[in-house]
Amino acid sequence: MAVKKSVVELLKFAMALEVAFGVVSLFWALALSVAVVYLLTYLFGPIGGAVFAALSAAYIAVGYSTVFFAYRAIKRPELVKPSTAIFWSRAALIAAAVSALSANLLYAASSALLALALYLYAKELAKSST
Amino acid sequence: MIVELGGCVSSFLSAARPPLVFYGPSNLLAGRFLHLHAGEGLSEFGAPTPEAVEYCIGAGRYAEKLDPPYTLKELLAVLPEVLREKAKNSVCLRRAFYLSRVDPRPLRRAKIYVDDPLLLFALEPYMPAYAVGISGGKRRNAKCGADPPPPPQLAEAEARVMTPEEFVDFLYTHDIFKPLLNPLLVLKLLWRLRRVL
Repeated sequence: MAVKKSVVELLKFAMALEVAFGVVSLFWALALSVAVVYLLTYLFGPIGGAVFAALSAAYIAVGYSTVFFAYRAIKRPELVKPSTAIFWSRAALIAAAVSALSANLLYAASSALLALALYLYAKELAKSST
Repeated sequence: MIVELGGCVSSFLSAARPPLVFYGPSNLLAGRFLHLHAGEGLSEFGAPTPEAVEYCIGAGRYAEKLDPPYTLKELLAVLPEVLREKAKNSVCLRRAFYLSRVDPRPLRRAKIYVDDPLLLFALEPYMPAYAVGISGGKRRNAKCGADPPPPPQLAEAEARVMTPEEFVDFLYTHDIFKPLLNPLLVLKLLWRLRRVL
């Protein structure tokens, strides 16, 4: 049984959206967090700045790695395996949650869509291989 | 990791806390055990452990490269030419794929006895696994207790095997933060993706 075409199309759409919003939003998040780190260091000393820098670095790393994954997988979704789909779907879900908390709404929406598309794709792959 | 037991196995089994899974001669059992069976079925989607693949076709170290869940096709792709034909025709491997989707959730509070090694391999990722007659990575000599071990009480039970879709849901929701807490896993996956894409 073949994978449903609509699911593949949704995946491609979500990946394109992720790349488009991800690159812009994360760049914005990077600039913002640099400013906040500067402010926190000024107010609370190097420890406050370092803590925030570590947190935002983790967020931006997760975000950019999902964007990078989407960018590489967009041309050949058939090479995305069930295990990688589950892994990146969870990563995208975490990126979406943190983005929503930091009011980065466009990127949060696109990450959530990517997480959903990858999840559906993993299920389709499972269904097609009995 | 399957621990190979030696010494006073019966005293060890009666004193051990659930959950655990044991494979071996049934005369070594002591105390209450669930005798687990699984229904008929073959599959090409699941997550057989490297031990199971080693048992069926002797290719455990190739299966280590794959993350759960995977398909038979993915396994064939990482196998060398010599083993590929063997894997394609192996009923044992298809059975291992099927049994790897056993639902461990209802079995969390039980001591389980299995007489099918593939079922032991399937439950090993979720609970401590002990065996007599299968050499695992570790050997343990059980100490003898002061009292004689109680007689065995076996209750029959049928394992529930999840459908592929349920299995994806199960893997998706169980220990959701684990991959992020394990940076090595993240790096490994990134490294693998570089090769795949």
